This record gives sequence, structure tokens and C-alpha cells, in this order.
Amino acid sequence: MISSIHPKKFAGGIHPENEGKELSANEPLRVPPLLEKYTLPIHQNIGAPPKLIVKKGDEVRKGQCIAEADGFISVPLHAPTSGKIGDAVEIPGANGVAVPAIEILSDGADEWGACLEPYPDWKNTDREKLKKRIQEAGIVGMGGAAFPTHAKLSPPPEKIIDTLIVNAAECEPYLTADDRLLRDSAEKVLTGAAIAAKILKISRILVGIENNKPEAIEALSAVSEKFSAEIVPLHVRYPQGGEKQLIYALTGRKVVAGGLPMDVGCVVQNVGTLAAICEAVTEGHPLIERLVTVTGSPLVRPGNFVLRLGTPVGKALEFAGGVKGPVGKLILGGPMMGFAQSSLEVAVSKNTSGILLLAPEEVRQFEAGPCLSCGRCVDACPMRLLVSTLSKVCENERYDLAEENYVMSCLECGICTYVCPAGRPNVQHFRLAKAEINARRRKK
Amino acid sequence: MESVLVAVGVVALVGLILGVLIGFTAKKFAVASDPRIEQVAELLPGANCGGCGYAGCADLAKAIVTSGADPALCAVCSAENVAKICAVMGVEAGTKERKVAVVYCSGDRSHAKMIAQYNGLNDCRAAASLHGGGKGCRFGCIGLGSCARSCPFGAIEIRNGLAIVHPETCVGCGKCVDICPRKLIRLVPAESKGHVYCNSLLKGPQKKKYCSIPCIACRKCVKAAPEVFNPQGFLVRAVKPELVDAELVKSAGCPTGALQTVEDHLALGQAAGKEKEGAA
Ligand code: SF4
Ligand code: SF4
Ligand code: SF4
Ligand code: SF4
Repeated sequence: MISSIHPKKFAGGIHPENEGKELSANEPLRVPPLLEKYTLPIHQNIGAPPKLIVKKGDEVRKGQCIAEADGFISVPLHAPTSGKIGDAVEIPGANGVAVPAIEILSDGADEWGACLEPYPDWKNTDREKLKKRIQEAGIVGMGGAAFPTHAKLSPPPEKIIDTLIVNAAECEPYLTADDRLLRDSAEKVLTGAAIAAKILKISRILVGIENNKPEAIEALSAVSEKFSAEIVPLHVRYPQGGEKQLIYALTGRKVVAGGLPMDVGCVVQNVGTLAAICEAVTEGHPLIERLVTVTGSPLVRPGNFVLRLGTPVGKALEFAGGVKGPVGKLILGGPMMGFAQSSLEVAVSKNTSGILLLAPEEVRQFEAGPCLSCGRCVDACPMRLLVSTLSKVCENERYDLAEENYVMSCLECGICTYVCPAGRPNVQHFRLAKAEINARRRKK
Repeated sequence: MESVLVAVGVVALVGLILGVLIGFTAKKFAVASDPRIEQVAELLPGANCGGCGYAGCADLAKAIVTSGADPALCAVCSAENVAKICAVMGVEAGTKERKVAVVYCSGDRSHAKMIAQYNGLNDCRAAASLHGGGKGCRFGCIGLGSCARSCPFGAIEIRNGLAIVHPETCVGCGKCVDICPRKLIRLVPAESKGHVYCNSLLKGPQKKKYCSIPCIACRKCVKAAPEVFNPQGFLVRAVKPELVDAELVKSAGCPTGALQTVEDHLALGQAAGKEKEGAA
């Protein structure tokens, strides 16, 4: 049901001129043919990398665990299809730095191995068992963070959680995978939400969704009654899907700097993650594929695809019909938070939400100039940071001052770089500052 | 007129009393400080580079005098001054080996291939986690000059997209070694005459994909002088760089040119660099 909540407007944020969603939103979901070879990056989660338990030449079945979780903040990895294990290789990661990966040579049969035991009657299944299942299935935050989901669903006992927020905002321009997922399988997403709510021992489920997705809202309302979930249509404003922004919009609660959503009684889960939870629990399927928006004006047929983990980006572009015109930039993720790419070998992983191609005329090339102190970044920063000051102190490598000015709260939304008339690479400044500050803290 | 004299008198008297008071307190509450600290501080270079691990030259001076820190900790200090400090402290001066930094890469813009156009922050540390600044070789010098900016003595030049250390200016303080995200700067004996200027651990053909001057581990140099060169996987290092003179470089016949004398390396890209400047 549509909620009566009147969503609050978070401070800052922008409305990108070109939403680009029309390119892919109305295309039906496509399942591309099986590839001969998948190159699976091994470390796809935040926390400890899983430990490989197979070696070259081993036969694996689809969904078979090939790397085991190493600790609590870690998840296992599963074979995306049946076949043979190939070489251990290195491929570029999303930021261009080489990461270890393993090749899976597909045998074409695409046969499931011995699956995890499904829990169709999850309502009467033990909470700990459900939580364990979520880890076994290798599920992480699929909106981009890749934080292990079972850990997010294990708040310490002193934190009282009362609301599960379903993040369906999908505020990044161009991306429509969540929209597509809701239109096609709203029930699956809400089942996942109900499972998560059961684990958290709560009943209040709020779905935050931007009001530019009327079909998805309709699909959700059609089934929401069954799950007593409230749908809250939100204004279109980037970054409406930022955890802290979403919590404020829906509940009016504010998370203090350095705090977590659970401090204000909320847990936020992305719709893709919830769908994966539903599959893992009701069908016993581990996370081996995800919805990815492959889009951009130079593509012949942009759309949303079910891509196996380990699909090279170059292949994904072929599935979308290949390119028809000159390309200015290839981005993994959305245009605001995604990473520009220098190689077609980078592979789809658990947190790849989109693959975007921009034409040369859509890419702005510039040389960074000195800060004009115009204040546009300060106005637009959704975290209310003094961005212009931060930008200048980071330029002078005064990371101590950056820390005092809350650089650690920056969510790297990219707005301050987007609005800056001087073309200053603010986000990159802040990423470096965070890395330096973290390194210093570790030393202490 | 008289009031002026009174005023002058009063001020003079107040001044006198305060002067005596200050003189007295200064004597009475004086903090005894070792005069040697000042002497030592004067002999230290005063660059405050922090290479010794102390907060600055004054801090090191204090440590030398009060806790017996080794004067040779200061990499910058000339041997002569170290001897003088030792004389002040009344200790035996050890012999000090002068070190200089070297950047193990020759992949400047005319030799190394770029795979992307990098338009971000002008800082190697930031670029290292963003496609290596667009450089194909992920072991080589990014060339955005973080080391050059960190060097308190201006000993590093960025020429044609490659950091080159001028050994005559370098004092071996090690600041650049710490900052380089690619970890390709090392301190070597100042008498070094030549090196294998490459840092890539990949196999030969993979290196050649992105660079025309890599060490391909053909081991010609090792055969020519086994005691000087040491192969480490797919990379050869000159372990006795002081023996790598022009003659040895010539007789080794490095097929790519990764093995160079320090002089030749300093001249690398000189022409290309000049051209650029001329055009600009
Ligand atoms: S990237 Fe960080 S500093 Fe910039 S607008 Fe976003 S939250 Fe604010
Ligand atoms: S938008 Fe750019 S120029 Fe304006 S204050 Fe911010 S950093 Fe400075
Ligand atoms: S192959 Fe060697 S010389 Fe060439 S860029 Fe890489 S590290 Fe430098
Ligand atoms: S030596 Fe290291 S710090 Fe210096 S320019 Fe090259 S990559 Fe950057």
C-alpha cells in the first residue's frame, strides 16, 4: 500500500539534467547466452577475501562453492556455471588496479550442483539458520557497497532496530536494473524483505522509491499488502538512495557523523540484495548472477541483463548489440559514483550495477583550476560538508585539517565534482585523504 | 615643561625597576640547558626534513646530546660536520656511507605506453589507485611527481613523464622512498655507476606490451658479470651497482637498454624534454 508518510527533503543534492533512464528502462529483461569462459574476481566483498578451495583442472558444478568465507566479515564465492577451473589470473579491478581472479571454463551443460537446502517454510525457520544461509549464499550489498549482508543483519543487541528500509530509490542516472527487477519480480523483493525483517525481529518495512518509476510503484503496491510493507514515493533527487539521505527522507531521523543507520534504529537493504536473499532462502540458490544495466547512447541495444558474475565487460557490451558510434568513456557503475575504465577485461562482480558508455560529446574534459570559493559544492553536498575548505586543505595535503572537517563522512557521491565550475577533482582528493587518514590511524 | 620631565622620570624609573626584576628572575629561574645542544644544532643542516625520524634538526640535536642518538642518523649532514658533532660530544666518529635515491624505471613517455587518458588529481598516490594514471605498466613510474614534491632538496626532476633523481643533489634522506606508491625508489650507495632501470615483475613479453625499455630477464648481463647482477624472477637487479661502469654496460649488451649507466640515465629523454619546452 502507498504510505501516508510525507517524505522529508534532505538538504543538498542535485537533479542531474540528463537522467538517461529512458534508454534502458522499458526494454524487457534479457538473459544472454552462456559464455565459454568466465573470469571471476576472487575478492568481491568488503572484509576478508574468501579462500580458494579449488585448483586448476577441477570439475565444478554451477553454484558450487569455490572459495570459502574467511571470518565473519567475509562471504564465500560460487561457480557461475558448470565446467572446469582454469588458470589463476590477474585482471583489472573496477579502479584499474590488478586483482586476482580465477577462470571457469564452461562445459555448456550449465548444470546445478548439489544445492543448499531450500527453506520454503522460512517463516518457521530459525533466525540464525536464515542468517547463516545468507552468508553461505555469498550475499553482499548489491547496491554498490558489497558489505556482507548477514553482518548488516546482525546488529549488536544494544541497538534497537525498528524499521527495515528497502532501498529502491535507484537515484543514479542511467541505471534501471532495480526498476526492472521491481517491475518483474516485486514479490521476490518483498519476500526477501520479509525474511530480513524476520531476522531483525521487526515488522515495519518501508520501501523508498523515486517517483519517476510509476510502473515499479504499481507492481509493488499490488503485492505489498501481503507483506504489510509501506511504499513511499520520493522526490527525484540525487543521492536519494544514499543510506543516510533515505533514512532521513523516510523517518526524519538523522545519523550523526561517523554513525551507522542502526544507531537510529534502521537497517537499509538494496532491492537486488533482497531478491538474492529470497532466492537463497526459498530456492537454495547462491549468488552467481545479477541484474546489470548495460546502457549508453553509443550502444545498439541498451537494456537490462541477467549477467553471471565473472562476465567480462567487453562481452556485456556485445550482448547489448555492440557499439554503433564513437565512444568517449566506459564507466563501471553509474555516471556519478562509477569508475571510468581502461580495459574491457574488467569483470562483472557482485556490486556491479551498471556498465555505461558515453559518447565523446557527453564527456567533459577539463583541467582542474584553483578553487573559486563559489560555494556551489557546499550548497549541494548532501552530507553538509564544507567542501570548498576540504578541497583546499586536501590540495595542500593537510589531512589533519581534512579529518577535523569531517572528510571521513564524505560518501563519495560525486556531486561536488559534478557542480564545480573549476573542474576540481574533489572526490579523488577526498578518497586520497581518507586513505591517508586510515593509514595514519593504523600506524598509531 | 615640568610635567614632561616628571613623566619621563616616572617612565625611566618604572623601566629600571622592571629591568632589575627581569634580570633577577632570569637568573633565579633559569632553565639549565646544555650549551652543546645549540652547538650541535648549528652543525646540523637545518633543513628539517625529518628523514632522521625526529621532528626536525633541533629535535635531533637534543636527542644527540641528551639520549646519545647517532649523529650519522642525519643523512644530509656532511661527513665533516658529523665529525665536528662527534668532537663536540667527545665520541668516536664512525665512517658514514653516503646514499642516494634511484628510481628503478626508464619508462618515460617515449618508451612506455599509456592505456588511458588520465585527467585526475596530480598526485601519484591518487593515480596509483585509479588505473595507475593511465600508464600501461603497473610497476613503473607514474610520473606525477609526488616524490619530487616531497623532496626537501629538489633533487628529483620529472622529465617526460619519468622521475629522475640527480645524485649530486640527493642527500639520501629517504622521503621519496616513503611516498612513492609504486615503491620503485631505493637508496643505493652514492658511488653507484649504473643500474637496471626497471621494476616490473611481469614476464618479458607482457612487459614488452606496454614498454620498449624493460628488463626482459634475458640474463645477458648476468652472463657478462655474474657477481654484479642478480636475477630475481623476471627482473634483474645490479647488486653491486658501483661496478656497473660504461664498459660493463657496453659488454653486457642489454637488448632493450634497461641497463644504463647513471650518466646515460640522466641524459634520458633530454632531447625529447628540450623539444617539448621549445614547442611550449
Ligand atoms: S562527494 Fe563527499 S564532499 Fe562531495 S558532495 Fe558528495 S558527500 Fe559531499
Ligand atoms: S564548487 Fe569548486 S570552485 Fe566552487 S567552492 Fe567548491 S571546489 Fe571551489
Ligand atoms: S617495464 Fe620497467 S622500465 Fe618499463 S615502465 Fe615498467 S617498470 Fe618502467
Ligand atoms: S617515482 Fe613514484 S612518486 Fe615519483 S613520480 Fe614516479 S610513481 Fe610518482
